[in-house]
Amino acid sequence: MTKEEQIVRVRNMSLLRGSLAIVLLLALSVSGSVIASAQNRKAPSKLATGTSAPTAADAGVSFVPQSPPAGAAATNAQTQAISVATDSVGAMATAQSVQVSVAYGSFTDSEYTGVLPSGQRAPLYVGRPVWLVTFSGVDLSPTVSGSTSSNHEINVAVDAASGQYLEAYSYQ
Amino acid sequence: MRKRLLTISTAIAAPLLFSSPSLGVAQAATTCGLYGSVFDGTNVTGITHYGVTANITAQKGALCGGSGSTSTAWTMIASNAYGGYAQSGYGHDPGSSSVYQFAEYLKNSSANFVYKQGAIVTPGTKTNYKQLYNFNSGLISMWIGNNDLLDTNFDPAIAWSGSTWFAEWEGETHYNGDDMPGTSGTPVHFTNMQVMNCRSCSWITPSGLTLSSDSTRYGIAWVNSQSSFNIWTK
Repeated sequence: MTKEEQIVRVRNMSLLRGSLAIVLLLALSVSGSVIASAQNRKAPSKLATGTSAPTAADAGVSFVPQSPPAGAAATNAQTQAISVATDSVGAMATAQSVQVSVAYGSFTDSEYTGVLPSGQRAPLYVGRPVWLVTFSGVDLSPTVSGSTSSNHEINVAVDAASGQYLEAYSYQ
Repeated sequence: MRKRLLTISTAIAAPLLFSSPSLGVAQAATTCGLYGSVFDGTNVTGITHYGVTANITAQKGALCGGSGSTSTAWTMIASNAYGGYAQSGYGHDPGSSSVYQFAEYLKNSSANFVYKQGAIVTPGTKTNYKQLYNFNSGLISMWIGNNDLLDTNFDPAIAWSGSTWFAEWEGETHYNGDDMPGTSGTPVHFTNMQVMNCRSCSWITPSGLTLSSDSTRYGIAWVNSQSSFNIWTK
């Protein structure tokens, strides 16, 4: 199966929202795998990447795809992750022409940090097993120019162990 | 996706249409109207601000449901000349059941923006939002409470060279039919507004601020001039 075939295309999701879980379950049971469309980059010095075409590193995140857990429980967890991710980004994820893909792997956000009592910073998520749900072909909110900015990508990291939303990001 | 790109000129845009009161309970207008950022807040220009901060209470503004509808509140450092910015705050988008904290930056008007959405914030909760230029790293950090959510990928001292960096505290919607977060009974409070104007400076209360609302649907009023104000949907 090609990567393109693996992508779960959900057109007119506002009409298909109720059947999204069924569609995904069927697609995933056939493929037996997940999609690894997300970035696999380490976060270098940000100033070194300060171009007009941001990468995942410019959001401070890195994702390393891994083989997903097998079995029905994992499939259910994946479906639940999509549901959680969809709720977290709202209607923009369910618009027409939006494509949804899911990858399992290790997620790190080197910038999302808390400050310890010692004053040192500590990243909230380092090597966290996640389902990374990617919505592609997203129309973002128009700018002050009044024009729609189309074909963007939003990624949502969902904790693989708890099924809880962690964070979302977009850089392209 | 939110995109809170703005310039001084848009921040003081002429008031739009509509007048749909929603006393006590958030209730967006049934008609969105034309798309365009609608602001309710204040900013200070003229000199470069290396830091801006405020505590903001979270409220969930009702939405008219148009493409790109949103209801947000935030603080921001932005470039006068290049259209770039760095901000953090919270917002509510259509189809999402919760209000989320976020940070977002844009190097300049021709670059792609970078957006990160953090934790869910409970309406009524007060959180500190802060943008602070780090003179060592050369980046602006976008803070939410005790967490640095996102850093710019550029040094504004270089990318915005020759431009002053203004400080801004705003509520924002994308349609006049969207509700600004807060109602007359439970407005959004911006408190402890402060700026940092030089590397060795302390945080101070800004001066010269004038409140401005782009819509007659939205209310805005000082609680303590220059340091705290409320916004709401009428």
